[in-house]
Amino acid sequence: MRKYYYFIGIFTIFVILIIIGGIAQTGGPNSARNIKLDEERINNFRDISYEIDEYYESKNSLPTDLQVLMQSNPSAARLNLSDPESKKPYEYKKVSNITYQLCANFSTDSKEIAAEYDEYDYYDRYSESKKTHPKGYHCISYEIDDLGYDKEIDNYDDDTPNINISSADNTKRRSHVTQILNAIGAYAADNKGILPVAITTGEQEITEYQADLCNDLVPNYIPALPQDPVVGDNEITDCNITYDTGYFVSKDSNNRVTVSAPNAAGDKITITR
Amino acid sequence: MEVNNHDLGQPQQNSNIVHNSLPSENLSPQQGIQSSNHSSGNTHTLEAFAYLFMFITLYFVSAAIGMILHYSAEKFFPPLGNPGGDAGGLPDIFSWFVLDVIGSGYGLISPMIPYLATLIVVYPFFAVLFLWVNKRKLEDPAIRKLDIRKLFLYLTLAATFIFMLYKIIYLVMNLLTGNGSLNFLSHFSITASINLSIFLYCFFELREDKKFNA
Repeated sequence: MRKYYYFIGIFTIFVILIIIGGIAQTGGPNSARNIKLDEERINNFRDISYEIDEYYESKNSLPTDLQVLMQSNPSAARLNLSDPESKKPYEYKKVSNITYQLCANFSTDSKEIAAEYDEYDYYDRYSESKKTHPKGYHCISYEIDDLGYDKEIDNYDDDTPNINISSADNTKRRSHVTQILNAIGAYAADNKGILPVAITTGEQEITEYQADLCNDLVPNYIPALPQDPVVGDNEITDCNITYDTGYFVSKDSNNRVTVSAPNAAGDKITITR
Repeated sequence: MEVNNHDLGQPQQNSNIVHNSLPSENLSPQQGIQSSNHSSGNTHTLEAFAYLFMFITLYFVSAAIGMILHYSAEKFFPPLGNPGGDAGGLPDIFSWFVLDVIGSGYGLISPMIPYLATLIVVYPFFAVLFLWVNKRKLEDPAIRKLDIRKLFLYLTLAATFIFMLYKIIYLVMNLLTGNGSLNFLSHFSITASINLSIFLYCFFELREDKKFNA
């Protein structure tokens, strides 16, 4: 029996070392808490800026302070205007007619965190926010329409994207690309501006194996994923089976989403919002 | 100490234990009644469950240790080219598991945290079960014949052997195609050493069983 005790004793020491090393690498509970606090701050800022966009759309001016914003409509009344740690109200500074700042005392340096989490290809949700901040007191600048997905969707008919329509299939493709973009926009609007995780800066095909958007979008934001006429021209409603749309998606550093149809006759159809 | 007398492979000296270890058909009726309390299939239900849970916790512990070491390797020996997938980085299925299943709802967390939590919670159970089943095995060698124990030992042996074979083929393939980076080799070493340890444990257990039966 002694050998089993020896074995488990040595193995326990090994496991303890792994746990200590793992905790050291992750930064421990305090570091995780700080990241979550900053994430909450950024999310709160997103909500506030979204409501300010709405306020500007209805009043054609920026609110004088955040209390005015809260009283402007029922959805704004649910805003969290206090810092999750200090419980003090966020600072709001009106810079110009369309520019304002939101300030808070951040617990981490977003660049350091992003660099660390990029190693696991995991920090997308954070870097997508395009709002970097140092550790400590910092103000983030916003411009009206910064996150205006709804406006972009509403104004879509006014857009003049670079599309070469040379066949009936291309008309269908343009419609499909638009549907996908609308669905992504609606998803982002419902998720505080956060895009589906499957959308990366590198162009990927919308398939089960690359940009797997099906579960995110179907059926809440689009009844079925459209398929390129060359690939099959079917409607993808079941996300549990292998699918391939023939359409590609990517985003840039400013969170602008591009959906493209490379199978289009003539020039590749590409729409960016 | 009584425990020392029961060391694996040593003849059992304690008469009470000898009775328990003998097949019931070789015992007197009185002895048979006594031994049936310990050596019949029904009375080993607890040991059977203990083996079942021990193997389950073994899989959890080995997976958690493997993933923590894989993430550490990814950090200390970053891939030169495109990370992830079959290029030598972390398998996509684990990234998916961490991102969408475990990590979902927790916001931003290091993907190592779910595995650390698994190890912290499951390891004590594994250690206690491991010691207990081995203690019981030495006290009552009939436990060696438990079907569930044999089943798990053979299944684990086969699974680790096949997986090791696959990994070695994969290693050779990568070396032949010039992809033998430090990142790839570190991932290979982690997987191979964990697999090999479990394989050897099962192998020696089965070999001792054979010796004991002989």
